[in-house]
Amino acid sequence: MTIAERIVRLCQSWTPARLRHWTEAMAREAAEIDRPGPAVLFAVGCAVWAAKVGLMYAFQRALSPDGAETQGEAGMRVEDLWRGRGLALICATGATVLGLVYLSSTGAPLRMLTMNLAALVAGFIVVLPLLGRDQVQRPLAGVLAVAIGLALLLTATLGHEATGARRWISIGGIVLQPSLILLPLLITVFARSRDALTTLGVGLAAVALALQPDRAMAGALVAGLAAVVLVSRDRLGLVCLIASIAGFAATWLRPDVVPAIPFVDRVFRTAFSAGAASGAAVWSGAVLLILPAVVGFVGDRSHRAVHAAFGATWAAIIIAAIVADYPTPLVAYSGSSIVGYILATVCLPRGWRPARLAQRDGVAPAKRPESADSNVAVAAP
Amino acid sequence: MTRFRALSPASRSVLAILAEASPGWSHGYYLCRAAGLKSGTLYPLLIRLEGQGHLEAEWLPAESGRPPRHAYRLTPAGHRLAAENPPLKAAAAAPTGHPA
Repeated sequence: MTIAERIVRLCQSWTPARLRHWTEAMAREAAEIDRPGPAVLFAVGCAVWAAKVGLMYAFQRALSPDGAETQGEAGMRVEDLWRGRGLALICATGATVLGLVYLSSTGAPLRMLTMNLAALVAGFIVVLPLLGRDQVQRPLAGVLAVAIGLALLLTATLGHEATGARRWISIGGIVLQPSLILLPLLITVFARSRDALTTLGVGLAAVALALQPDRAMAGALVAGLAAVVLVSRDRLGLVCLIASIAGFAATWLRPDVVPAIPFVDRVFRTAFSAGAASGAAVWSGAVLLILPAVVGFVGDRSHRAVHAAFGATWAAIIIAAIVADYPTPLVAYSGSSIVGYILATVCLPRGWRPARLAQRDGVAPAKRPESADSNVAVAAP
Repeated sequence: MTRFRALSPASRSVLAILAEASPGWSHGYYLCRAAGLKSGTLYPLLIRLEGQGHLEAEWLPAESGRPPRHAYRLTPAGHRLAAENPPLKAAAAAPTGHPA
């Protein structure tokens, strides 16, 4: 076997099965080239292509194990998956990278860049096994919601305290903010499955945020629930919204004077002072965080509640970071928000096909009744 | 349903070469050299053309003792596509119109 043929054959297993005969063709072709130099160049070109295809295939498999090769849900194609949670994951990655640009251009310690990257990887490791499914199931969703509520309450009582606020926990020397990690997920779970248990979980979270106190995340909870109520006009949503407003109001009864931390707080207000590039990176990253919600809300009518809740939650977190000294999500030093954003994508729909494209293909677009969002299940593995 | 896109200059070159070689078969390395393309550009193009029904691919017997080689030639639809999309001249490289 020539070196060129060996190079191509090393990459054969990366490609999906439907393309293997093509990589076999490339390998045999490489073997037929007499001159070693051109043969190796030929083989390297084939290998680069195989690597690109293999990476794309692996990513699609992670998002949709049943749909990477063929059409997925009714009328949906692989490319439609990029409209759902795939888009959110891309935006999460893009915003994190832009945050790294900001951190490096402003002289942040290398440790911060490393931690952000580690958070991105950790987030993907946690969610990739879950992304092949598109259901949030009772009662698992309720159990998850209650668990999140209790976790936030534990943080409020036993967490790390700083200047009167108890919002953090320390694990192995790494300080995490559980509300940034778990609250967006809780809101999107509730947006997709509204029952007694998820309502209880949201109620516990509202109490916890009032106790911590965490005015920014309490405001995000209000914003997310308000979006759910506006779209779904759901009674349970209204109950939770009222509870969250009460919790938000309670956060104002106590002073919230946690000092600003460099590279974490006030980033939006100071980014441009560090240069146009860092300012552009921060603000464009913020836009990326909202983009999936806007695209989904406009294009996926059957899942408007969860898209609206997702977008409203992150918009509120961004606004809090702009107007006050609260952590800047993803585009600064904020591993907790990176993980939180990625976790919340689990409850976004896996993908959707615009009605006009489905009609063009002669396939009825996948329909879900509005109430289906409240019957959704987090698919049991 | 297949998604069609405007043909790139590389696609047009390959179609012209295949049309000229027809009804004979062409191999991948020959197409790379004749069209001036890298293998990583040529093969995705061939895969797309085959998927769209413009290209047929066969394993043809090689010289004695050698494994069969993949060879390509245009289908009738491919010939029509090649006729409708001749290679762009260098002076007119900026596209003034793309096929629908």
